Amino acid sequence: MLALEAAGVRFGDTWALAPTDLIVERGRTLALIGPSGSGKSTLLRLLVGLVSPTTGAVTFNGEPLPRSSDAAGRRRLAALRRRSGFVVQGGGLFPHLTAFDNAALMARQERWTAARIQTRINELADLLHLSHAELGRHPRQLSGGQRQRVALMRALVLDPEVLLLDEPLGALDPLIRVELQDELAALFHTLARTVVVVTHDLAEAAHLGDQLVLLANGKIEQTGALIDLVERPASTFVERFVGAWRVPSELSSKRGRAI
Amino acid sequence: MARALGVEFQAREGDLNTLFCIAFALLLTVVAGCQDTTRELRVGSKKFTESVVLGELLSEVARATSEPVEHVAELGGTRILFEALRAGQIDAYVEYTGTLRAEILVNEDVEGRPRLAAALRARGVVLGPALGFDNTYALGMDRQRAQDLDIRRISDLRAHPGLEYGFGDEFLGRADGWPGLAKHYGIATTKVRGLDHDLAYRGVVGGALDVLDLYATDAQIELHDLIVLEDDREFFPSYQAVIVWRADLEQKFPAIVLAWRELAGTIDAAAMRAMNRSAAIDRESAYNVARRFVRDELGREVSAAAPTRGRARTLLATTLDHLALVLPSLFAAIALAVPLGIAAARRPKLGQVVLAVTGILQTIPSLALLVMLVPLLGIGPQPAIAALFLYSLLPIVRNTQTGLAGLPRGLLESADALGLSRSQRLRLIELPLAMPAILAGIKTAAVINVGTATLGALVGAGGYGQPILTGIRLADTGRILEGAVPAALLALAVQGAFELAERRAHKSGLADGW
Repeated sequence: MLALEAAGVRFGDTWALAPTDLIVERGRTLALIGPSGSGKSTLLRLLVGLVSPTTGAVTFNGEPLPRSSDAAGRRRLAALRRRSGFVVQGGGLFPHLTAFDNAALMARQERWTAARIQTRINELADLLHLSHAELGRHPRQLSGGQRQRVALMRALVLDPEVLLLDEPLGALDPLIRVELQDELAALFHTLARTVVVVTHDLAEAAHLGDQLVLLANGKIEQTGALIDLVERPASTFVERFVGAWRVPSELSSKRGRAI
Repeated sequence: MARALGVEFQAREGDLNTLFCIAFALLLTVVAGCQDTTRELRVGSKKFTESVVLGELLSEVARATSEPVEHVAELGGTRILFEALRAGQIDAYVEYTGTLRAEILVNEDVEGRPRLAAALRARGVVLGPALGFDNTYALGMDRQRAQDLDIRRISDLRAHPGLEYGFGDEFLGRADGWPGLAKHYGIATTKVRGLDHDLAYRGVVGGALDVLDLYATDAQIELHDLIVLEDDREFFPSYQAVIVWRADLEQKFPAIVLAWRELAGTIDAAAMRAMNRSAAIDRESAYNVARRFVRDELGREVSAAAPTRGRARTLLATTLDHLALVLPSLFAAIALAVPLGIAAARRPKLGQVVLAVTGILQTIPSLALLVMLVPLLGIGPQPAIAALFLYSLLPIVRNTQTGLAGLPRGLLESADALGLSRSQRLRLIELPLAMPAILAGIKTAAVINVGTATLGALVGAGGYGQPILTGIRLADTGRILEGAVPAALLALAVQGAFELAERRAHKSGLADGW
């Protein structure tokens, strides 16, 4: 449903993402992984038009993404973005709005009735384990994990066709991180949506994604399940990257799941 | 307003220009709306006592013809009065021939009355009759001391080289002051001291000084029983008091013009000194001083009607006048400066231009700006409001621009990624987040406005500046404080109110949390 067709992004002389082909299939969960500066965030932002491709094209359900250089293109792009839920790094909650108002923001813009909004928020609050009291708070009164849940609610409120998450668990402390990883995996399963998630953590990628896309220096090094990366690394980089994460107990459990 | 701003935000460069034009047109309409088109005769006066007394006197004489007359008292200076006269904002005032030559008709050959009259006529102004006194520089001495030494004329001073002289700095420095005078009369002395005018009076009264410079109609002359030495070799230029009025007055109010013409030669220097003394030293109102002169000395009937201006006003009325300057200018500035700040944040190049222009406006001295605005907007609240409006732009534009430009990029990207349009992003996210900065800018503008508005009195706008001007004119500290204290309190109140609003904005999480 999302595809890159030889799409590349160049800033000045440097390719943040070399021309790349990639297909995100409907209903699959894709994990983009790689060291920082590898181009994984650029790839994710390319998918919703937050950056425009220097070469090639990005398609959403077969339609090329409109450009943001003119007003008409911006309007069509905004409409498309409402059909995809994007969570920026750190959640990007608006500090002047309560958790509820953050989550309800786009529904209000779509002129939903108050009752419909309330129903939808209740539904999502159950799904993401947020209480009524927590929804009344401002972001700075919430914990990191709670903020991330609110950001997910906000992205999900319009029931998007695709969910795009940039380092959703990046800033959390390890215990909460593990807890939320399980929750996210369950959530993706429940939603049965197309998901693209960016992470620098191999274990997390394996935990959340059906398919892993390993990037380095703006190029895709290898695509496949964790087991493919571990057993049939396409390059010495993949071997080294995977090797650095090979913790026996972790790997055995993840390997089982990935297969 | 936020919605309107949002619409503007999407506008292109051309539309932006249109928006500026509309905003300016709106302001001018509002300002023009305050101007009354059909109005009574208006007499003006400058911000010193003699001018105010003469303004009252002209008004009183005109009122005897049963026409309603307004006295716009204590305007800021010669240029403001003359421009207001030419623009038809006032119809007449009392000027001095020397001032006309030195300040209005600079670099023109206007020696002698006929040439002066012709030069004024070319500007639509009639040179009316001379009132009879000449308020030029003069030298004065204690009456007793002068009699003892048998000095009546300036040339008599040459015979007494031992006299102590004390002059004001201006008189000491000017070519038409002491240097020229000493040369003209051949007075050779080294006993000349420069000192403050008030001190010079005390020195003469106490006997430490013998001769001082003064204006021929100073109230102090009467008070301290000084004599004015005759300028027997005609050194000092002539500063005859003359009535000047608009040429169109002769058709519109012929009876008033006739009555004013009859004032020719009716006020000699002694009479003017007496009136100045009553008003400046004895603190009698200029209105009463002028009325008494018209009744007792001119033998004319005086009107029963009270004048519409020039009398003590209540604090409430002054406060309302002041707010009538501050509020419209501030709101107009917000209406233009916030969109300008948004445009500046959006387009850095345009932003530099906008900030440069508003910055330059800020550097124009307020009196200069008022003088420039008087020909366009006349006198009264309009030029003051326009000037305050212009001064308010910079802090609001700058804070709006920096407030918006300083927002975290991640939040803006988050807004974009959600599918908010540019105008929605501005209205729902950027403006609320930048609000503390914008409020701080408005606060700065408002506080500056409250203080600067006191200068509005110089162009007849009223407000707290009026008692300050009167107080300065009469050296009456109490009167000055009547204006200065409420102005300071109002500034503090404005500051406090905005700080409360800012704290609220912070509390609701606008300012921090990322």
